[in-house]
Amino acid sequence: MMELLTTLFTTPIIPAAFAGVAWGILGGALPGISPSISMALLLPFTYGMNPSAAVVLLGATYFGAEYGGSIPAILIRTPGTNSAAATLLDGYAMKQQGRAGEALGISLYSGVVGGIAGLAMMVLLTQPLSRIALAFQPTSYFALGVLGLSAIASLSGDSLIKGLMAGTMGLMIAAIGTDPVTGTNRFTFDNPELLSGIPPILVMVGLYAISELFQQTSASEWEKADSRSARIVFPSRATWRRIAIPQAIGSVVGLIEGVTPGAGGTVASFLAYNEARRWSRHREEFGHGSPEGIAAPEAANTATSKTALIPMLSLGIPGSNSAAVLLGGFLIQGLIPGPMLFVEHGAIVTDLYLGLGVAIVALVVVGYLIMPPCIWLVNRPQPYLMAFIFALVLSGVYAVENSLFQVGITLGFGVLGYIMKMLRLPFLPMVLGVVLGFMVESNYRRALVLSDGDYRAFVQDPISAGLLAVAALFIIVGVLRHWREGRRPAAAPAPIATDLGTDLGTRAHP
Amino acid sequence: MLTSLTRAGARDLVCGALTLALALAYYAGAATIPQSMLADAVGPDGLPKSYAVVLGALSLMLIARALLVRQAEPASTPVLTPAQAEAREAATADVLRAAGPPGEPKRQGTPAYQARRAAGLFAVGVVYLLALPWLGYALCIAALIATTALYQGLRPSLRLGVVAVLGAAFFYLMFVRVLAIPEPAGFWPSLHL
Repeated sequence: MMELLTTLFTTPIIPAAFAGVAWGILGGALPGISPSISMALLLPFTYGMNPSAAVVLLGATYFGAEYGGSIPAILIRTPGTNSAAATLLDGYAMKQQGRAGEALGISLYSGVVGGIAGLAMMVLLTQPLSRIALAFQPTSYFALGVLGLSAIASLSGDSLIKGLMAGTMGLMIAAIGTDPVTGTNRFTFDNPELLSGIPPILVMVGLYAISELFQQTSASEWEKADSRSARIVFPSRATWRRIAIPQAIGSVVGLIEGVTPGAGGTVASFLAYNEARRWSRHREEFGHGSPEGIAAPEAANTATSKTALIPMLSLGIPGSNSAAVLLGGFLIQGLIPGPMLFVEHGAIVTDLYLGLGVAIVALVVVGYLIMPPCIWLVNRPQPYLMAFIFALVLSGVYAVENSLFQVGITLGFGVLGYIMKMLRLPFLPMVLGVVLGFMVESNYRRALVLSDGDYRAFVQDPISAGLLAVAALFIIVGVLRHWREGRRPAAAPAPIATDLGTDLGTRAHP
Repeated sequence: MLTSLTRAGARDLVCGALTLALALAYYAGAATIPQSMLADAVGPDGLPKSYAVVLGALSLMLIARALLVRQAEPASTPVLTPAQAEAREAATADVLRAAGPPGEPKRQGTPAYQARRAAGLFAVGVVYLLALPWLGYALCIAALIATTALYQGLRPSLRLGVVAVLGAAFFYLMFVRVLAIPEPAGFWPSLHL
């Protein structure tokens, strides 16, 4: 305990957690800036930072953004994040009834409850999972990479084919640079800046941040918030009693959905909403200003922001866009998430746990303090916001390696991201391919060299065989799900929340 | 067959054609990767060629799906009274309209207009990149802020100028002074002012 307190007060964890939560809330509150974009904007700044501070900053940003998205959802009927769309259903109704402060308070404190539940699960599960990794060999690492790629089957949104295409293109991007076994140059076009390949951060910033800016060039202005209605009200005792069970439901849903690759905060929040309504004694109030209709989704999406990090930390497999960006943050620090992280950098993982715990406290403190600047920012003319974000992105990317070429590459990925959005190609499979491509190829070839070209090595290693079996299961389940959904005729109107959950949950995974 | 394509089908057809072209180009590029004496059984070109083949196959599947698969007819809906149907439709449309995810903002104009608008912002970024080594960071970032804001519809005004200058000062302080990033200084140091 003393050691933990010493770490807390002698490292920059506390300021990083507060800064991350503040940035995340601001980013989440701006319609168009998802948690992953908020985190991607910070990535260039984490170069040169203390590693613990860097990962805490990014993790706290994810957590803050999941709450921040509820602010415009409640005040101006525009969710700041995908997962806040469920909060909008009852949050805006409460605002119309003059109860905006109550809605904001329920959202904030339900986020705290979900965050506590998520952090507890994260601490309990992550390390045991990683202990298996001490026995990893090249065959196991290859199988782990394949397992990560198999998540594409559930991350592909509406089209499995398009998800696989995006994942394959990610692998193609990862092959650019120097061959991991022979050192031969591949697709470098004699450009020395491509010898070390394309850093995943450029892909992420381009796809998420710049392509979104390109989309915003033709977006309508959003409604402005009334600052007078934006004071957070601490829930009354009666309200706490009423929202306790929905918070528990939301937390459990978030815990389960968070560890499932592809599920994410959006699916979790709508599932939690539906379940809370199913078990509520005031079912008729849902959609018309029910406190439970806010508590459940908010607890779910903040729980998810913690548990989505479990597969990323323990296995190196990001299950959501935001976890992928956090993975990028680890890579910038020279930390390889996955099996060896706990062996080689266990202290940094502990610092991350501490930091995310501080972030929960920060959410309450910052949540109250940041409301006026948040409203001020949301009410700024959109042209100014876009101009500053564009300047921030271009400046930040240059800061990575002081390379104008890399800024150009990032702009290029922004164009690619825009085209992918037009063609409905999902981003996350491509990011998975870019991040896992090197690991998959290098360990595959290394394993074959060690076994003299004998492919049976991949099944003779029990860990590899197990991971490949799970990967096959993911793929089969994903294919069956897509096949069933493809065969189902356009459904009759179902309860509104279920419609929205199915529809929005298959879109971008925050 | 082409004229009967739905919007989604046309989009998939274009997507498939583009990715097929990419796969062919990538395979051609992989074929030029030099073989090394140190090469293992797979070689430096092995997986890149495999990726190109997989992408090509997926592209053909997407093209085939776009050309061959028809949209399913909607299932029969439960019988509602006119008032119930109208209320459900209004409520669903109302909430769906409000709950548009941030990844797909409410946008103006046709897809061609939106693409032109996006291309314009891309051009602003490219010009910034080209001008940066010559004019230096401070000047270029101020111009970027002002140009982007003007492009997004703000009118030229003193206020815009002040915001651009203050914004540039903020970014200069943050990146060059605080973070010590050696942003390009342009030709200004050569003037020996």
